Parts: sequence; structure tokens; C-alpha cells
Amino acid sequence: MRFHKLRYIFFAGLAAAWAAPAWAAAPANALNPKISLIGDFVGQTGTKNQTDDGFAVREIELGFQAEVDPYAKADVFIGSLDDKGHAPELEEAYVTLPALPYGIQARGGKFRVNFGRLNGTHSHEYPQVDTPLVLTSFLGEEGMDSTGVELSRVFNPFGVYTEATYAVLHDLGDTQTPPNVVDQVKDVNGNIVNVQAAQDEATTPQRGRNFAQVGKVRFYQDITDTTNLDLGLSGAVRRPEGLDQRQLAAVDLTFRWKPLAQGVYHSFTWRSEALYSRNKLVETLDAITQKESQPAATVNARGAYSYVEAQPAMRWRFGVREDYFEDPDNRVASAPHITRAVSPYITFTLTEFNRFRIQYERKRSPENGTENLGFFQWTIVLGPHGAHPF
Amino acid sequence: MKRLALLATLLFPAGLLAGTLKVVATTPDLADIAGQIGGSAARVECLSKGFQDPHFVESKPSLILKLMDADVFIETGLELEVGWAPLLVQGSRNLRIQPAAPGFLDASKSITPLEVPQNPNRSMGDVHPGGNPHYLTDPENSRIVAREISDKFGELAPGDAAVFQKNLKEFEARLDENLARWNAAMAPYKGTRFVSYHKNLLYFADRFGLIPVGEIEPKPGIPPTARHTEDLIALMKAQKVPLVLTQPFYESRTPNFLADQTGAALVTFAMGPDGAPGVKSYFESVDHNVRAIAAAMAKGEK
Repeated sequence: MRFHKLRYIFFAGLAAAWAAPAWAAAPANALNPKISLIGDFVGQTGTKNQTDDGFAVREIELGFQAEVDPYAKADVFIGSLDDKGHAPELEEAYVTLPALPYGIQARGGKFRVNFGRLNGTHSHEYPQVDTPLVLTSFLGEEGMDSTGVELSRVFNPFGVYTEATYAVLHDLGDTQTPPNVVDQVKDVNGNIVNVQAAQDEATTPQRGRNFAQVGKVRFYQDITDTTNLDLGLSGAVRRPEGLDQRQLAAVDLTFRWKPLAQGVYHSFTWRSEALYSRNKLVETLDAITQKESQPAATVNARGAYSYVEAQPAMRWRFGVREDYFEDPDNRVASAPHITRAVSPYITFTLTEFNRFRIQYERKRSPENGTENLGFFQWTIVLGPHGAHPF
Repeated sequence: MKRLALLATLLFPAGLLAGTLKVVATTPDLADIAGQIGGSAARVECLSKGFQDPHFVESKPSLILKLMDADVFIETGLELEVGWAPLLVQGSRNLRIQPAAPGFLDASKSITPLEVPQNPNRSMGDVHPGGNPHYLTDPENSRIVAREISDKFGELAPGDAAVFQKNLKEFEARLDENLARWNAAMAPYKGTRFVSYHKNLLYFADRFGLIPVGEIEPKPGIPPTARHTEDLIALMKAQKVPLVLTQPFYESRTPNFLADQTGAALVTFAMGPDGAPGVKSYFESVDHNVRAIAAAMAKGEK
């Protein structure tokens, strides 16, 4: 009897396995997150002090992406795994709720803030080897990233794609570091020395108005089937009580041409982005003498970049970028501290997963005079095919 | 199934139970089939053109607008649209068509895919791990897709289910009629060897007995090299390959060169509506392909 039962179970199991639906054959790791790895290898030459010259693994970025459940999607990117000994850094880690009621999309966590045009994308996806200079100067080396919550909604007035985004964030990333602010204190021998002013949150009580707020409105319109215009207006503000206050504004405009039939072979892009920064610096007192070491001041600065890029063949793109910015951190000089640069570049895309780029940059700045810089970049992508952001 | 029905009832407005479904398909062949099944009970829009490479459609925000109020989103699947469709669906903020929602239809789910790689990796080129996604070049697969679409439409708009069933029957009748004609037209050319630009005609070849001997791309997604083109010319001459098939979204220099060097006929293969001049529907695209190949082969025989 027991034998018959076992035989029945065996054949029933066999039949069930044979007749199993397709989903039953899914591999055991089907529910694992998609894992990708992006390597960014760069070379640089021509800097004035030569300390930055040479080759370096600029970044290895590790990405994990998966649906959390039917309602949410998670993205985690660990970056800065470079060869200079920097510790791995959480670049982004956020959860997206793609479809909330009233057409609202939300995301929360740490993310690159939707401010301006390029800041929302990762640096290895930028069209040139180096980040446009105004972005590095105004938004910091790593760009504006922060922790918080973002809401967005798409509207369709008169057939124009209009996307409004609003975020409440812990801070504005690196954009609020006041590098030139110093305190003068006496050392053990009684000599006066300069020290970095204590303006960070660790030594300042948190107040209700400490949160940063960032908003953006994006307008997109097809001009024809092959050409389109993309306009963005962004603003960011952080007014912590007792600390430096920062306001930023950006306008970005992109014109694109790409034929429908042979779009993989030809394209043309013109993109410009202009930023305005207003830094309201608080009075800083000497830690010992309690005398004013840095007066209250308001520093306004402007900057912009513009580039054109043409793709004459499937693998080749040629472009040139022009940069201009006034240093927002230079609070002493009465005249604007202006840097200008022009950078022609060539991109060779072997495949979607393997790309080379060379770039020349002629840069003129008050600190280093005229520099002739050369860049090389080799970027590879391992892992599943991701969607291409537009 | 009960849970699915409950979810559908919650997500879809009551008026939709006997109203007009708004359908958005990624490619014109899917859109045309959906239009034939939906008839007057569905309004169908498409995200791409038939002369566009379906792998590389740009995820333009204007396409998001089409998806924002869609009831059904239909994709080819097998990762054909992986480079652009996911961003559009997520950007639409439309809960009804998100991948886990009832309004999301992967049209490949009942297809038996060809060329499923055993151990896929990027050294094979831009391969699709789930198998070759160009299954609609075989018109018999349009029957499977049409049934899937009819079922999905009926599930989401039960009030019009009878209309969809009727339209499906008519679709299958037209398909059977056309298939008989296409099979007869292609019968003399069974065993014909051909070269295609991309590995996207395997299903068509399988249906009509043609033999693919190589591709202009050395590997999927990799542009042709001089060395590979030379090797292909030698292979075509050695095997007396009479036919080169290409699409309007590929460069024309290499296919023309191959045809010139080998004497093979060059035919533009329509991947769906708008895939060739004058082709307005899915059946017309198959019709165009069969006629063009038959005409080229008949000319070669003379």
C-alpha cells in the first residue's frame, strides 16, 4: 500500500514537473536585483602643478536595481571605488513609487537632485570627460546629491510635456561648503593662526528651517518628428538659521536632432545651462577674542556652459564645450573671479558597453593662468542592459 | 484569477467595462494587430514607426504623454524594447500599465522563442537572454499575439469581450486566407539561402523554409567590418547565395556592396506597417515581403 502511494506521488510529481507552466522554470536567482558595474578609467595631463596628471581609475560604480513589490522600485549605487584609497561611498540609494494617486511619482532616500540638466545623471554619462566647470564650482565635485523626499507630476497643457518636481532635502550636498571661511585663533605660543570656521551642523543647533528645498519645471516639445526642444527652470534654497544661506537658480535648454529611420548613425545636440548662485555668508567671530573675523557678506556669482555635439557616423561623436563661471567661494576679491575654458572632444563608442573619449581643454583662471589640459577616458559597463535616459 | 479580477475592478473605472479602451503599443505591428482586435471598442496608439529600429527608439517625453491615460500597454517583450520602454512606462506615472498591473501586456509570453542563448554574455554581441524577439516576422505568431490581446482586452473591458472575440475570429480567418496565399507564393523558394543585416529574420525563414547563412553584422548590434564583409562575400559566392535582406533603419552601403559583389538580389524587408513605402498594415507588410522576395527570385531565375 505504502509502495503504491509512493509510486503515485512519484508519477504525480513527474507529471506536474512535465506540465509545469513557463514561470515554474524561472531560475532561482530571477528575483535577485539587477547588478551592474561601471568602470571609469581616466588620464589627464597639463595641469599647472602636475599633481593631478597621470592615469587613474576615477570610479567603479556598483549598481543594484529591483522592484520592491508591485508598487515600488529600488535603486542603489555605490560609487567612488577609485584607486586613490577613498572609501566606498553611497552615491545613491532611493525608493521610487512610480504611480501614486493624481499622477504623482515619489522617491525617497539619497539621490542626485533633479536640479539643472546634467546634475541628475551620473558623471560617467556626461558628454565630456570632465564635468562642466560651473557645475563643479557651484554644485561641488560630486554634484548636488542629498537625502530627502521628492515629488513629481507631469502636466499636459496645450500638448506640451510639462514636468514639475519638488524636493525637500537634508541639505544641498557639497554646495554649501564655505571653503574660504576661516577663524583666527591663538595657538599655544600665543600666535594668531587661521583655522576653518566652525559652521557645520555638528556644532550648530538644528533649526526647523534647516531643510533645503529644490524645485524644477521642465518643458519638452517635439518641433518635428526628428527635432525637439527641452527647457528646464530650476531653483534651490537653503536658509539654515545662524549658518551661511544659499540660493541657486538654473536655466537649461537643449535642442536635439535625430533622424527616425537611421537614428543610430546620426544626431546633433546643442545644450546650454546657466546658473546663478547667491551665497549669504554670516558674520564669523574669533573663537577666543570674540572679534569679527569675517564680516557678513553676500556673494553673487554666475556661470554657464554650452556645447554642441555632432554624430556623423554610428560610433563617432565630435563636440566642443565652452565654460564660463565666477567663483562663488571667492568672497574677498571685489572683481569677479572668472574662469573660462574651451574644450573640443571626440567620443568613440565601440559598443553601448565600451566607450573611449579624448578631450583637449584650454582653461584660463586667476589661480593658474592659462592651462592646456589633455584628457582620456575609457568607460565600460558590465551587467544587464539598462534603459537610456533621454 | 479572482484576485486579478478584483484588482482589475479596483484599478479600472466602471465606465470602462463597456467603453473604449485606450491602448498603446510599442511597435506598429503590435499596434495594427491590437487595432484589428479592438475594432471600434479600442483606440490604439503606437510609440514608434515601422522604419525605426525598435531596439533604439528614443524615450522622448512626448511619448510619455501618450501613456499617461492608457488602459493597456503592449510590448514585444524578450527585451526588444529594454533600452527605452521601461523609462516611458515608469515616467507615465500610470498605475494601470506598470509591469505588475493588469494593463501591462508582454506579447511574447505565449511565443516559443527561437535562438535562446544557453550562456548569454556580451562577447556574443547584444544578445537577448530570453531569445530572439523578432517573432512577428512569422505571421503564424501573430495568431498567438492576437489571442493574447483579445484575452487581455476582454479581461479589462468585459462589456466588449464579445466584440473582441468576434474580431479575433475575423482576424484569424484573414490570417488563414493570407497564409495559404503566402505559403503558395513562397513554396518555389523553399531552401533559398539568404544573408540579412541583423539576425531578425529567423522566424520568417523558419516559416517559409528559407536558410539564413549569415548576417552583415559580425555579431548582433556590432557594425560590419571590412574583414567580415570580405568573408561574407566569399561565403555568399561559395554557397551561391541569391538574396540579401535588409531594413530601412540600417545603412545601405554594405548591403549594396554585397549585392554588387555577389550578384545577389537586394530586398528591403518590412518589419511592420511603414516598414516599406506603401505598407500600411501588418498583413500588408508580410504581403510586401513575400512579393518582394518572390519577385527578386523570379527575376534571378530569368
